[in-house]
Amino acid sequence: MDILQRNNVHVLGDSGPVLLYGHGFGCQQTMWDRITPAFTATHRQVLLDYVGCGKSDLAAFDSKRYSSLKGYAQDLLEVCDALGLHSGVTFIGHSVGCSIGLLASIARPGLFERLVLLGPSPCFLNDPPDYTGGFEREDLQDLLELMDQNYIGWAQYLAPVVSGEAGGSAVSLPTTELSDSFCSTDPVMARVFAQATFFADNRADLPQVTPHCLILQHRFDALAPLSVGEYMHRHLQNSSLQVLDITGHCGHMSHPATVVTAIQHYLGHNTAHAEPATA
Amino acid sequence: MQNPLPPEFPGCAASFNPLPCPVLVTDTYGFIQTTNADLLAVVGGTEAEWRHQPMEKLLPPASRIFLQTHVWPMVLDQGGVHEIYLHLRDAQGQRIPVMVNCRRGLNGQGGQGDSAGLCYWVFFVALERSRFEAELLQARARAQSLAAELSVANAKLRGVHAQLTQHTHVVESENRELTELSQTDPLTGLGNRRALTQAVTHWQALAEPGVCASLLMVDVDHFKAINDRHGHAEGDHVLTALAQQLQMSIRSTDLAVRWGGEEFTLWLPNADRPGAAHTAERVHEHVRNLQVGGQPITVSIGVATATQAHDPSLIQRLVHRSDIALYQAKVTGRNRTVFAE
Repeated sequence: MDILQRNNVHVLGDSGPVLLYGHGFGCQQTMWDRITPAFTATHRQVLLDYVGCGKSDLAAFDSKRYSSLKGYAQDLLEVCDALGLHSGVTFIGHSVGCSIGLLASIARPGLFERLVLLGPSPCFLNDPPDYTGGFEREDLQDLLELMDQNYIGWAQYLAPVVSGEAGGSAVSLPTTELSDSFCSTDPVMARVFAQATFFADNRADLPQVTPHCLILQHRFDALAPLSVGEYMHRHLQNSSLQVLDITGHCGHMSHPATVVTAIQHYLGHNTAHAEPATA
Repeated sequence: MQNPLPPEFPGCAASFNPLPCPVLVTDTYGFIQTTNADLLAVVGGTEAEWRHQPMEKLLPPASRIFLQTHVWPMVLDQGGVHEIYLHLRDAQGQRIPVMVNCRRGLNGQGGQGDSAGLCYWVFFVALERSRFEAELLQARARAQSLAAELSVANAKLRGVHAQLTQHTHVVESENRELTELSQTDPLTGLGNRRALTQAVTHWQALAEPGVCASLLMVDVDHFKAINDRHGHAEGDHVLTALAQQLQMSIRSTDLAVRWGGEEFTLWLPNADRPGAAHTAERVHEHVRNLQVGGQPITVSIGVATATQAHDPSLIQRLVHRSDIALYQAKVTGRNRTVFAE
């Protein structure tokens, strides 16, 4: 199988240090479109859709593999292998994409030189008294129902009741209609990704991450509140926390300039305007 | 907070108020700029209280996640959404199902740096639709689990069916064995009268009109004396040996059966009188191989040939006529063949 085709990999630029982008739940690589132009001159940028998202090869979806975030992390590693990337990569993730990147960095030490984590959360569920992820289990159950109700418009969502005769595969055939209305193309796959995302608990993985991490924390983020960013900062071996003055969860889309500036600063490529020489 | 001041819309809220559905205006960061009367009727509070609050405060947790992961990316990337299903939270904290449309529009004043503009949100309270959709989804889940149960039941049924088929095969083959047994003479292994009747009937069903057939009645000469002198076991031995000689005397299409006692019948389909005579001669020759107590054994044979292949009482007539001929053979000295007229 062609990994680059499977994950709809796009590489922008052909020289410079590598930036590898990992999108979040409900998204696809096009969500980075407002960030990437700032780095085309200086970096080689690798964009991908996890299998089951965006324009990935839906036939490659394996409901077992992708029911865990490790399956998505494996996608990152396989793409790096296919591109011959073995070290020096800067990973830039959003939301659950951060957890996926962290898992990949643990699985393959030395591959990532550093990680930029935009709106990360190691665990969305509350675990009182020590941890407040922001959500109760029933909230996340409600989310799955909400997704069901939104995917009801999908032409094939209600049609095929999977009969035991036709085959046990839980994965529906790839749908094409309405595929652009949400970034995640297939409702069944989106549900698997949702469960992998919102029921994951990667808190124990944080101390195992060795590269330096920049946490870009939205100041007011319903999904990944400030307390979660601070938790990550405390438990990662080697991190810095930068709070962006952003309300919401998608700073890379709503406030791209702010996010770009933070990343450029971190990469040491801060495009500060040259001071005019004073006479 | 990095939040450009909302453009002033004098009388804006007032102009949304007549609209018969909840309406909301936010900036592209999700901060509430304007609410109309219908929205406030659902979520409670006043426009002043909601102004500059993030709109996700209007939503319960699951809808916040959906808003952040699905709706905002669409609004920012594609300029809007339509027919999104969400919940609003009313003043009592109850979830109110709504369908949502949103369109992003520039406010005409341009923007600095990050994206600027306004988002217009229209909600349609959808209690009924929500109810029947929930039912639809439940029905689908039920159908799914029914299909699964059905599949299990079907698998069981297939198993039972396979057993039944196997059982039927066993019964059929037992039946065949029984049939064979019931048409076989246990002493000699030849067929019995039932086998003869079946063979004749079968031949009649397929026979061309006018074709002939013959029947030979073969009786051991002085068999009672053999039994008396050498015992019944020896008598049985003679009958078994004779059965073998008879088998060797006939064509593969012919049939030898034990008629009863020391009397045997040979059924020769499609054999005319000369054919039957030839077979009778072979029988006499083969029987010459047999001896009991140093004495040769002989047989007497009565032969009947018929040409009315489809005569319903063909077998009775042949038996009757060959019996008379056999009697003739006995009374005229035995060890010979007599043909019925």
